[in-house]
This record gives sequence, C-alpha cells and structure tokens, in this order.
Amino acid sequence: MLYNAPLVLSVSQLNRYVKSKLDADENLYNVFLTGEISNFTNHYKTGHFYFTLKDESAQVKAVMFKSNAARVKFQPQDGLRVIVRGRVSLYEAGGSYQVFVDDMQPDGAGALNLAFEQLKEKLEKAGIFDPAHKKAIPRYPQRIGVITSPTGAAIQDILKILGRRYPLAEVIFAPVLVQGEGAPEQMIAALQAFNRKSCADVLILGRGGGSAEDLWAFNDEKLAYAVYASEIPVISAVGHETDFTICDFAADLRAPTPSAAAELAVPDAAEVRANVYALQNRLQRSVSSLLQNRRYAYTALTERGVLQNPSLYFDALRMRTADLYRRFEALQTGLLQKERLRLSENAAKLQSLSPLAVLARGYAVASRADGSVVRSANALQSGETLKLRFADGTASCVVNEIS
Amino acid sequence: MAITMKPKTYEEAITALEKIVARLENGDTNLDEALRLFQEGAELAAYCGKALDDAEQKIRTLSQVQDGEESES
Repeated sequence: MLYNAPLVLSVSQLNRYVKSKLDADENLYNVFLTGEISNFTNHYKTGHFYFTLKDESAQVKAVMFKSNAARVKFQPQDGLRVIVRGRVSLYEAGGSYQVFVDDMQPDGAGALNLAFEQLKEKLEKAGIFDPAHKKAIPRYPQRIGVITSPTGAAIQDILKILGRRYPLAEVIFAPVLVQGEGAPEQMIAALQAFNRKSCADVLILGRGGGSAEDLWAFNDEKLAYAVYASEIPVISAVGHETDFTICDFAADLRAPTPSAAAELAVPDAAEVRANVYALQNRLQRSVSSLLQNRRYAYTALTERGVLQNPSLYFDALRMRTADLYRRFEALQTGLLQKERLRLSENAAKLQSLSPLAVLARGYAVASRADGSVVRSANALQSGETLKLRFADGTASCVVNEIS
Repeated sequence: MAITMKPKTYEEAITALEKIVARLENGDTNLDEALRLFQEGAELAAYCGKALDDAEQKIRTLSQVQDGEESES
C-alpha cells in the first residue's frame, strides 16, 4: 500500500539488516587478520577481551569472548602485533562492525615464547626469583626428595648418580606427570607433601629433555610459587643444558640436567672419605705436636742442674751450713774469751774489797747467835755468847765484862 | 663430661670432628683436655668412616613416608 512511500527503518532494523549481510558473506566468516593491539581491556567480570586492531592507516574493533580468551597463553597488551582468526560481524547495539576473535597468536615470536617472557617478567617483579630468598643446599643431606616421572630416563640417571656418589642419603621418590594435563598440579602436590612431611633435606624437581611444549608444565605460574614457597631447598633440572624454564628461575639452584642435579645435591663419597682421612690426620698431628711440646717443656725443666744432680744442690747447702757454723763458733769463742777476761778483772776487784782481806790483817768480826754483826760494845750483855770470825776460821766465846 | 658422644647424623659427626681438629690445632687446650678431645675425635672419625663403608642406597616413594614421621629415622 505504501509502495512508493520511502521505507523508514528503525535503527535496530538497519543494524540487523547490515549484520545479516555481513553474516551471509562467507569471506567474512573465517578471516585471518594481522594488526597491532590498542585500547586493550580484559574485562575483569566477564573475562572477555575488548581491543582495537590497527595498522598504519586504519583500525577495527575486536572482541574475544571468555571461552576463547582463556585459551590464550600469553598476555595480550597494547602495541603487540598479533594475528587473529575470527569472523566479521556487526554489534547491533553499538552499530559498529567488529572482529569476533576465536584465536590469537603473537605475530613474530611464538606464543609460548612470549608467554614465557611475560610470566618471567611478572614473577621477577613479584620477587619469586630473588637471589636473597634462595636457600643453601645442605652439605650432607640425609634424605633427597626426587620429583619426576617414574618412566623417564631422568629418575634412572638421578638414582644411579646418587647411589654412586653418596649412598648414605635415602632417596624419597615422588612419581608425577611431568607433561600434559594435570602435570603442574601433581608436581605442586608433591612439593607440598614433602614440605608437610618434612621428609627431605633437599628436593630435585625435573625431567629429561623434550620439546618446548613437553617442558611447558615447568613454566606454570602456580608451580613457580610452590617452588618459591618450599621450605626444603629445591634444585630444578629440566631438560638439557640449553633449556630454561620458569621453574629453573624460581628454584634455589638450577641444574643443567637431572644427572647434574644429582651431583649438585650430594657430596662425592670419595671426597667425603678423603676429608675424613684428612681430618683424622690433622687430629693425629695436632695431638702429637701438643704432646711433643709438653715433652720439650718437661725436658727443659728436668735438664736444669738441681733435678739432674740433686747432690750438687745439697753439697752447696751443706757447705753453706758448715760455713755458717764455723763463723758462729768463731764468734762464740771470741765472746767467751771476752767474758772470761771480764770475770777475772771483776774477781780481782772483788778480792781487793773482800772483808776476808781485812781479817787477814788480824781483825775479827763478832756476831750474835742470830748472825747479826756486833757494832758496839754497849749493846752487849755479859754472859752472851758471840761468834768471832777470823780469817781462817771461827771461835765461840762468852762475854765476861763490858767496859 | 662423657668421652663418647653418639652422633645422630653424618653431618653432625663430621662437623663435630672439624671443630675438635680446629681446637686442637689452635693449641691452647691443656693436656687432659687435648687427650679427651683426641679420643672423641678418633671415635667421630671412625664413625664417619664406618658410615661411608656401610652405606647402601635406600629408596622409598613419597607415599610410603607417613605424615609426622620423624625426620631422622
């Protein structure tokens, strides 16, 4: 009825129409497109990626829904050149056409390589590789935990070297998957079990050589954290010398191969034995030299004259005593003579003063019966008996008359 | 002080031996002490040598290790 009238469309109708045109074009159904990412947004709630792809002169919007985005192994970011695969369609509500991305690969470097570099940088910033956090490998471990595949060559190499170098240590083996689905989880569980049971002094975590994809499990972020968190020192040994994994950087020590890890984990029993011998030797030598020193000191002492020939010492003593005695005697003799002289002098003096000398001249001394000397005739009574002392004797006499 | 000590691990024995040798080499021990240390050192050296001679590799799987098992068994 309104045949000639202009057809008026709603915006929705227009957008739906254009969308149907785009969707009908098989050329737009599976497009490979290269460009540089800008305005990248990883929607935190939905997990969808929103970004713009551009080249020097044009740009197109792109969206990658969560189900596809989760499979991207690297972290897309602004400025990164990528190749995407997807279909071109129109977002009706926004009215703009865009690329609905199914798959995304970095352009140039391989996806794995980029993911590796990005994770490495991230963990580096988080301090997971901090050299200060790295624990020392014990010198003489008693128990060595080995986390690797039960079927690979690595476990055989490790056991052979541990057995040859240092059979003192017990090996605790945790068989795990080392590649494919679930491998990181099994390795993490083993790390945690070793720590929970604290049944090893050092851990070897690794596998033999393989392709980059085979070794990929050792680039797991959670595994890196588990290695970092391990209280037991971890030696990583992944692939060959030229293979580097995230796990190598997180470990306390990187070994180029599983065999090398075994050599780094334990001392060589031959060297240990040599060390024991050396210590034994030093022990012997130090004690003999100590004893010898004591012997010298003893000899030096005993070689002195006194101990060597004690009689010499006593002779000297004896001579000294004799000398002293002689001097004493001489002194004594001199003293006696002096005294004797003094005595004779005094005796002569005494002699001269003696009353006996007076009596010798003809005098006599009268004394009473009580011994008192009679000094006066008046004191006498007649009939009294007196004793008269002469020079040569005494006589008893009676007083007849007093005048 | 008892002359004989029972080392629990190789590490403990070799460390004790190293200390004894260092002390004796220092030379400031008296004779009695030196002889006692020598005796102890000789026993430790013998223990270490025997441990090395007698060692045979033992292997267990992690699942065989019981939770809470003594770490030195």
